[in-house]
Amino acid sequence: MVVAEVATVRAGLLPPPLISPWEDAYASERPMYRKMTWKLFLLLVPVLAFYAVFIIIPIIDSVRTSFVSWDGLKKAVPVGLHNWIVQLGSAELYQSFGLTLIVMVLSWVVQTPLSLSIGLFLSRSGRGRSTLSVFYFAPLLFSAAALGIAWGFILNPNFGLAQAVLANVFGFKGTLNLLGDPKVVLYTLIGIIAWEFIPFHTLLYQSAARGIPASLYEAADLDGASPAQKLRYVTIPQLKNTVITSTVIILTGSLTYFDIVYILTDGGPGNASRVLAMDMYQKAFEQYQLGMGATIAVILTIVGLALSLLLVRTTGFGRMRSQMEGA
Amino acid sequence: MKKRTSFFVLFVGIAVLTAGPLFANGQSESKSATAASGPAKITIWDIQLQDDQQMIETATQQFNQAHPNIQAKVEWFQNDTYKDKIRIALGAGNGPDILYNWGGGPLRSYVAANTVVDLTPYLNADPTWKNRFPSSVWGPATVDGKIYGIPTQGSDAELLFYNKDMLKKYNLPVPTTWNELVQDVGTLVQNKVIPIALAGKSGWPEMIWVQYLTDRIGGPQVFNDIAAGKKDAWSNPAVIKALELCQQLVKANAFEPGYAGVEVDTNQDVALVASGKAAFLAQGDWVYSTFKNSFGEFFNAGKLGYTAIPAVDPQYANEVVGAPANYYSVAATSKNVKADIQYLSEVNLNDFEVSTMLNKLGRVPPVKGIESQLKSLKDGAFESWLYNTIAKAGDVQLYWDQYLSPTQAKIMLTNMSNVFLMQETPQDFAKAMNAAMSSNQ
Repeated sequence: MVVAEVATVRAGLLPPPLISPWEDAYASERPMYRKMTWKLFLLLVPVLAFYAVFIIIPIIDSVRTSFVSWDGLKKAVPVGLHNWIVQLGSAELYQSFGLTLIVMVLSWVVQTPLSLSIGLFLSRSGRGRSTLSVFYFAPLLFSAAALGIAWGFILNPNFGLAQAVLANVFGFKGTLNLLGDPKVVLYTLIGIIAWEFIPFHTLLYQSAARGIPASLYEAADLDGASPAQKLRYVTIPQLKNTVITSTVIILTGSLTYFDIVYILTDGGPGNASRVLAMDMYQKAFEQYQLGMGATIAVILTIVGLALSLLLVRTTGFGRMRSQMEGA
Repeated sequence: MKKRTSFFVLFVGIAVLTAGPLFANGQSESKSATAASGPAKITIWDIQLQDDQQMIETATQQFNQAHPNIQAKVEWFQNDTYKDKIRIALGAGNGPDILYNWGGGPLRSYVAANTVVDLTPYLNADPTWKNRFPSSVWGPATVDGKIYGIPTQGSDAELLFYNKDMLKKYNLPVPTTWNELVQDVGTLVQNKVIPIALAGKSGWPEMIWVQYLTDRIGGPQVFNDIAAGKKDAWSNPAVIKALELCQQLVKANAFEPGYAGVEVDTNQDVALVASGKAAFLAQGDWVYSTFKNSFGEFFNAGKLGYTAIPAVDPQYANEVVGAPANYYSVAATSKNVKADIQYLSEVNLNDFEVSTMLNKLGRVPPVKGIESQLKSLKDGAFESWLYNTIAKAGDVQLYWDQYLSPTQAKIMLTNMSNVFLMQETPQDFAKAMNAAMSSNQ
């Protein structure tokens, strides 16, 4: 019994018991509850140093750069709020922000239901499911650059695989113009991004679903629950934290999404797929207006932080309440 | 107690290991700076590939053997990241002594930041050196009357390629005027073939049409006004008319379906012509070798034709859009400018390099007096045609995106794409560009 309890606590399913760390029977299971000593602090130093070098200092430096005019060659000239006034008043920024919002919302709408259902499907044991999962997870294995180039070839309207299949197998007469049409290109990208990331979220849901105690389903069976009811009253509530985690990852991830857009469209045609991260890149590294680029980067950081805070607060994720109340 | 000590040692070890490379880096830098007591060391940054690389290495070795007091070393970089690399190195003051570059807008920004050396006095002191190059090559390397770059290989121009078979099949003349081209386009559309291949994703292939048409309609003065920063210079009727003609082509379905998503880097535009799907392609002369090397069957059957971009106003029919050369510049941080100059005057395009380029690499070096040698080349017909086209041009206009600053160039290409997509009028384009020029970035 104790072993099972410890296991549930370890899985984060039970709140830690409210006793002093010194009398904590679970202390060995949860090292974080140990008293902070100078030894432990020293062990943290390398991690903290990496965090500072790769996250904190770049953020501070971006904020600093957002107040200067700099082309990378001449000395940076402080310009006060100029970059911020130009950016916040520029139609380009809002257009890019709008595109980014569409990518965010549609990515969530497309990816969440699909990864949830595939994840649940793969979490059950059954003939062939593990074999199937190899194929589902394949996109996870490739670099975004390789995926971008591959999709570029597949969707090429003149020599591409998709066009050839449509024309020769289905007798399609028109042209499949998914990357060259400014009205369509964003949705093409959202589809490819979903294809790239659904496996990752599927993996989250699969492992979370496997962590749901069988006893809950047994209890539901005793109460005579139908499969739909089990899904509604056991599985979904148990996966609440996973849904939130996955949502935060999808939303903040698509806020800064860059690689496939860069490779497949470079923000084009025209500016039809110039999402915020693309706008930042073009300003900083194609137009060499590093101050303007940094301003967009800071805006991205602020929006991203606000978004994850908001999600964590409103969903109660931060409080990590038990998901098994009354169970 | 013992345990504690070992832990401490471990920690110090980690700290030293992680901090080590930082210090080591600093040391190696100071070392190279103080090693000036031996032969003068000069570093050249360049981006050539394969055969050209070998040629330059050989010439540099010969130079080093002849001058024991100078040690020249060439470092090779990849083309795509090179512009950023120079920018960062020059900005941080730890660049090479000599750097390969393209002249134009980027070179002007290096000059504005005082990171490259004015070479005019050295050239004037050595007239035979200066006179080896035709006078038309200095333009892109000249800022405010001073020369900042020594021409090296890489002269090129844009022209119109075509599939001879297709023109023959539909009985079409090789277009010499705009109206002839429009008629050809009409016939080809009626016959359900693509008239013109265009790699719109890459942006600058669209610029070929806009720039050439502007030049053919209004002459070189139009862009000279833009370059001089004249107010509202982009609103010139020639620019507007050129963009309107481009939109007419779009409306006539002159370009392949989905052209806005087609990119240059994978040679999709060349493939359209070589596979007999498209008839025309406006591109740089460098795709001649792409046709030759990647589409040998098409090329060897003699199906590749080339001609100048059709004329609009006959008086501007001979102007050329191209780059007369690429350049070597000397960094202001170089400690051995004299050695740099000696290297450039003795190695760059010396007799060995010129004869290697002509006889082995099939390339046209930007030097005087090689007309007779050109004809005996393997691809002599094309190379001679190109050389003569450039030679008889009233004006060789540098590519707009290379002349303008990186900021202006990007804004121009994006707005141009929108014009081709019919999402922007030519007037919108002119307005956006006038604004970009006046904000002076």
